[in-house]
Amino acid sequence: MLTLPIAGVEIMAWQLVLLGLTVGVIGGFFGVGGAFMVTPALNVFGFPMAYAIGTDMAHIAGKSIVATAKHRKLGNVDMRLGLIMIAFTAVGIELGATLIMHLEKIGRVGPIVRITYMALLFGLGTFMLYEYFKLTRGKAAGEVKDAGASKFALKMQSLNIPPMINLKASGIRISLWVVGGVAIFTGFLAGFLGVGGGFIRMPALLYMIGCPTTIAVGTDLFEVMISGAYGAFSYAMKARVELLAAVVMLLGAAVGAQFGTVATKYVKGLIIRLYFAVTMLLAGVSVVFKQIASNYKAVYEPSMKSWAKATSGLTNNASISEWIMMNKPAVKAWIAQQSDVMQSAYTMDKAWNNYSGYLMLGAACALSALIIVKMLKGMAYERKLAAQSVRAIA
Amino acid sequence: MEGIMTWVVELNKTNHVGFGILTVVTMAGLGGLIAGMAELFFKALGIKNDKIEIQH
Repeated sequence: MLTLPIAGVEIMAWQLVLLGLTVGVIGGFFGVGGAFMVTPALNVFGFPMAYAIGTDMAHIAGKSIVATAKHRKLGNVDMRLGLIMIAFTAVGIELGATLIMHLEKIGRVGPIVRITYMALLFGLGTFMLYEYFKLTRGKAAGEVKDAGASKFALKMQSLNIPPMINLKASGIRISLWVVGGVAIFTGFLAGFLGVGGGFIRMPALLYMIGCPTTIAVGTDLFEVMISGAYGAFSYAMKARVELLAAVVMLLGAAVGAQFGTVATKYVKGLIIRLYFAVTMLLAGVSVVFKQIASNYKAVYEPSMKSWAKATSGLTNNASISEWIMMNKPAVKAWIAQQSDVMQSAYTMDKAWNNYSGYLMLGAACALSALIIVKMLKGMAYERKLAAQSVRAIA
Repeated sequence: MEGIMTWVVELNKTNHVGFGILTVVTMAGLGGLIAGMAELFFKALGIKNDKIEIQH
C-alpha cells in the first residue's frame, strides 16, 4: 500500500507500476503520451481525480524522455520537423483554448467537445483500418511494409510556398508554411479538446505531411516530451501533481517505453498503423461510455453545484467544480440525503465512468502484451541472425 | 525518506514555482537515468539500433 502524501489517500503501488508499464509500451510504440488511457484507468483504481491529469502529465514528461532517446538512436526523430511543429502547435493550442472559453460563456461546451472527440477518434480509426485492408487485399502476408505518403500529403509537399525546408530524417522537402499550418490545426484541436494531442499529431504527420510511420512515431514523441514537461510544470504550479505517484508510474513507464520503442524496430509500419487504428476505435467507445455517464451526471449536477456554491461560498464555476472534486466525503454525504432518482443517477454516472476505465485498462494491457510479444520474437530473431553471421564468418 | 516526503509536501503548499521546478527536474532526471540504464541493458543483450522489419 502506498500512501500519497499530497492527495492524502492510499493506493496499491503495483496498480501504478502496471498502468505505467502498459501505457509506456503503447506510448513508445505509437509515439503518444497515452493520457486518454491513463486518466480513465486511474479513476478505476480510485486515484483522486483532482490529481489524475497533473500526475499523468508529470509521468509523461519523464517517460517521453526515455522513449525519445531510444527513438533518436533508432533514427526515428526528425528534430527539425519537431521543433518547427512545437512553435506553431503552441499558437494552435491558444486558438483552440480561446474558442473553448467562448463556448463556455455561451454554455455550449460539453456536448460539442465530446461529439468532436468521438468524431475524431472513430473517423481516424475507421480511416486507418480501411487503409490497412485496402493495401493488404489480395497481397501475401507481410508483402506491404508501410503505406506510402497519402495523396493529400503529396499534394501538400508539392505546394511551392517559400521558404521550402528539407527534412532529411523524413526524406521530405516541404514548405515551412505547410508544416506550420498542419501544426496550428493539430494544436487547435488539442487545445479545443483539452488533450495532449499526440494521437492527433501522429496521424497528421502521416497523412498531412507524409512522414514514414516510424519517423512520425519518434518525432511525435519528441513533441510530447516538450509539451509534457510544460504540462507537468503548469499542473505542479496549480498543486495538482502527486509527485510520488508520478515517480512510481514512471518506473513502470520507463521500462514499458523501452519495450514499445524497440518493438518498432521489428514491426512493419503498416502494422503499427493497424494497431493504432484499433486503439483509436476503442478510445472512441470509451468516450461514448463517458458521454453516457455525463447524461446521468446532468440529472444531479445542477443541484450539487448549487449546494457546493452555498457551502463553499465560491462563485466561479471552475472553482466550484474543483471544490467538489476535492471534497469527496462531503459530496457523498450530500448525495446520500437526496432523492432515489438523484442517488441512482450518481451511481450510474460512476458506473459508466468505471466501464470507460475498465475498457481502457483492458485495452492497454492486451495491446501492450501483444507489443511485448512482438518485441521478444523480434529480439530472438535478431540474436539468431547475429549467431548465424558469426558462424558464417568462422 | 519520510523527511524528503514531508519537505516535498511543504514545498507544494508554500512554493508552487519551486514545486513545479522540482517536478520537472525529478521526472526529467529519472527519465534520463532510466534511459541510460536501459541502453546499457539492451547493449548487453546484443540488440542493435538498425531496423529489422519481420513482424506482420
